[in-house]
Amino acid sequence: MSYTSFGYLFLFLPLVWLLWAVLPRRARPAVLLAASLFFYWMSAGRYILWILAAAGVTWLVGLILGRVDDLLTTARAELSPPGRKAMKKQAGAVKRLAVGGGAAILLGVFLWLKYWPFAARSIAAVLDRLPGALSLAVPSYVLPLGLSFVTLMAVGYLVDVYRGTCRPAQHYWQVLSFLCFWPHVVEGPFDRWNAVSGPLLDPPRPAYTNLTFGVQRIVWGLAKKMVIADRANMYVKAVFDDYTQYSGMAVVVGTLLYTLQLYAEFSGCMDIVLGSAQCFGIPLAENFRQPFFSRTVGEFWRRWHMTLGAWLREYLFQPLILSAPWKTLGKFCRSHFGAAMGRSLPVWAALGVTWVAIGWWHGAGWLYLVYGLYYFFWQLLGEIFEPVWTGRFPRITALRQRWWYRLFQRLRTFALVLGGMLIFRANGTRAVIAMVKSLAVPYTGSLLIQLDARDMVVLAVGAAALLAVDLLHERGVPIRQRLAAAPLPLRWAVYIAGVLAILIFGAYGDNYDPAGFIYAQF
Amino acid sequence: MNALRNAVLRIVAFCLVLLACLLLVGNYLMPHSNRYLEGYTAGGILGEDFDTIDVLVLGDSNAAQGIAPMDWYQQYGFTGYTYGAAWFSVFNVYYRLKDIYSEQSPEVVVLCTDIVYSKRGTETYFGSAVNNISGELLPLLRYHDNWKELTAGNLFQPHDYNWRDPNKGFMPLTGVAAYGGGSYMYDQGRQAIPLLTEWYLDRIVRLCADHGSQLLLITVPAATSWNHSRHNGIQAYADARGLTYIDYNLDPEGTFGLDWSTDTPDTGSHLNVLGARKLTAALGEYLTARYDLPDHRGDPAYAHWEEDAATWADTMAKAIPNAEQAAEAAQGAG
Repeated sequence: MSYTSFGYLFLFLPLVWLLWAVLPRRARPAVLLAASLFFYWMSAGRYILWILAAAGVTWLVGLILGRVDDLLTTARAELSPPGRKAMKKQAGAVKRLAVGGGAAILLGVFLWLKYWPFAARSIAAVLDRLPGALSLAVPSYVLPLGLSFVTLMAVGYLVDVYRGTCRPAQHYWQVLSFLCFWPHVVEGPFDRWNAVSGPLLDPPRPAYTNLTFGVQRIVWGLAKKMVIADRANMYVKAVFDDYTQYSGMAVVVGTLLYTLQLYAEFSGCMDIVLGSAQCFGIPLAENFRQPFFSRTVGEFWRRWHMTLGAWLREYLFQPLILSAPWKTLGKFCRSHFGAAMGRSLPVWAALGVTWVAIGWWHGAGWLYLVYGLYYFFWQLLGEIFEPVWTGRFPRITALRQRWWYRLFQRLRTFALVLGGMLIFRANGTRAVIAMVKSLAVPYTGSLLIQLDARDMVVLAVGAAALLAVDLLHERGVPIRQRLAAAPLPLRWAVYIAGVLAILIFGAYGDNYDPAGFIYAQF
Repeated sequence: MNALRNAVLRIVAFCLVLLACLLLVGNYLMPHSNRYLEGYTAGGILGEDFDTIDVLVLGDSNAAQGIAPMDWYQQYGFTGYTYGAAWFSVFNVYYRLKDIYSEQSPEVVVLCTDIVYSKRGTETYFGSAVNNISGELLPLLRYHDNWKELTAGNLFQPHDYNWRDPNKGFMPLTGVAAYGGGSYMYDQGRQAIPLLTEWYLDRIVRLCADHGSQLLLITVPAATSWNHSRHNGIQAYADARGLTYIDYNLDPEGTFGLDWSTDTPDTGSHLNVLGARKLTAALGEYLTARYDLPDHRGDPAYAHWEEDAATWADTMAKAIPNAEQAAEAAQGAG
């Protein structure tokens, strides 16, 4: 069931909300769980068994971790200091074993289904080139809906329980409710148990403000997806899928439109899911914070798909930095390359691993490795040259406060992001090379590819509207609150204009070929 | 309690205002001419004089490319119109039939059953039904893209729905691309009719009965989209409702004589003009034998049908030789 389908927007969501609102408070968590399971079953059919099993493993391991902590707390009072120490050590070992085992099962299934076909394909390609009769069958799996999102949220939950930053759920249905909650099961965000479990398991009273603000956000998300993203998709699809026919300006416009498409689509989807959850008083994590106002590539990734970055920072980068091998690496670097490099090199190495993870999270293929390394390269370059710049040009610190320099930094970051987008959308590494080369070849055909001039005007106006809203958010203007405070005729006129704009200018119906949600495939 | 009541009232009032705006804008965005109301020329029926159509054919592209009502007028004198367009569904047909009944009172309604199982590849039957029904109830969803047709010149131009189609909804195709897939009517299973579709089929049956039309179910030959399992599904439906059903994929009279090597423009999906004339003749024969259809030739009230018949003859004078030439070329190549 797509978030933009009639069935979701006009049947599923209103009916679930009505049921949730009219039933007694105690029954509301059950309504949300039943709705989530129904949504998953409608979207993925028998793969619901996977999510039921994943929730089971997560719940059991969480329970074991919690029980060990409880035992430790109870026994602590009765034991002597050496006994306490020994027990703590034993408990630590059991917890490590439990969390390691749980994570291994969850990540094992995830890695097997998502990456084994790619690994097998790569190994088979090597075997083909070797003498001898060795060969490897390449499997092909259908990925369960939300495989990456559910797995990483489950692992995050286990690590949080292990660290003691959250209490484990006592009941299976509670973990299942968290993991399969329909607004975040398809494209995220990666929510944390502590942030969501409260209102999910003990729902607040239905509130008019939550409902209206939630619906407003859904409408805004639909506008982004249907008016901008689905329209831009037609141009993008033509240029990227048939890239040998295009060059120069056509590739530039195609990449620009893909950037617009991906932003409008992914952030639009987040608006729909966050708006859906807000109707039920459940605040999901924000995934975007005006990414195109970023002044560096690193900042861009702290504003774009924020919950993925936060997850990897929390559960991969930081543990890596603090791990024994990394400490050994630090010592080695300090002794061989000096104190400064001794500090930087292990961090850069951990950063490299994180970027590879970001790249490969987006897809199993060499292209995605290139995608991750592309951003790693630019971030590393920035890290290396930062001290050089500030040392050689001391005035640069003052210059950075000037508006035009900040604008330059934003445009520079945008240009680098465009490069990343081209890699991300291209059909393979060869296509990337060909498309980059083709930039030098002037394009003599019409730039109106699959879209007419009026479509391009709609895209331009849509992009301007996106920019304006982002600018207001960047300045801290609470748009929905301001609008809610406006006189009723003005408020309604704005809402009705918004709905009409989607229905009139939306790229749906016989003349368009709307794309599915891009991030739903991850 | 007051707060809740106020909130509910506000929401309901907003929805009503929004609905009014959607209907108004939808009406405004409808095509300026009935020529563009549908794909092909189905909308031309609105340009016909009231109560002048004896046989109304409803269906999708198979119907629009497969049944040529002007042949009936020329041969038997009764009038017909094929109201069909690509990807038409049972839901579309139900609502259009309601509209058509406000202007026409056909003696016979021929419903082409390809639409019963028709849906786009990526859609579910339910999704397709929801899309179709919502498009019918809110014209804005169907005609939203017409904003592109608005110019300074036609911004305030009233709608003119008087255009008449001399082909009476038929879309002649002259290309030939043979179907070579062999027999396709062998599956002995029965494909169930989707629930919502069946409900709307029943509504069509009732609508016809309420307006005194006799309903005939037929299936236009379509080698790539029809099969015996679907035939059985429709036959069971027809038997349960006491309706007559003719599946021309089975060539029931044995005289229809469709040749899949020459009579299709797209390897068996549709009929070209050669196939369409055979099917039209077979159906025409059945209609005249079974129903008491009037002969309007020479009737001054039907003068424009004479004009259209002349245009039709010109069209066929060009189309048939072209199709025959294409058929010869295809057979030569084969």
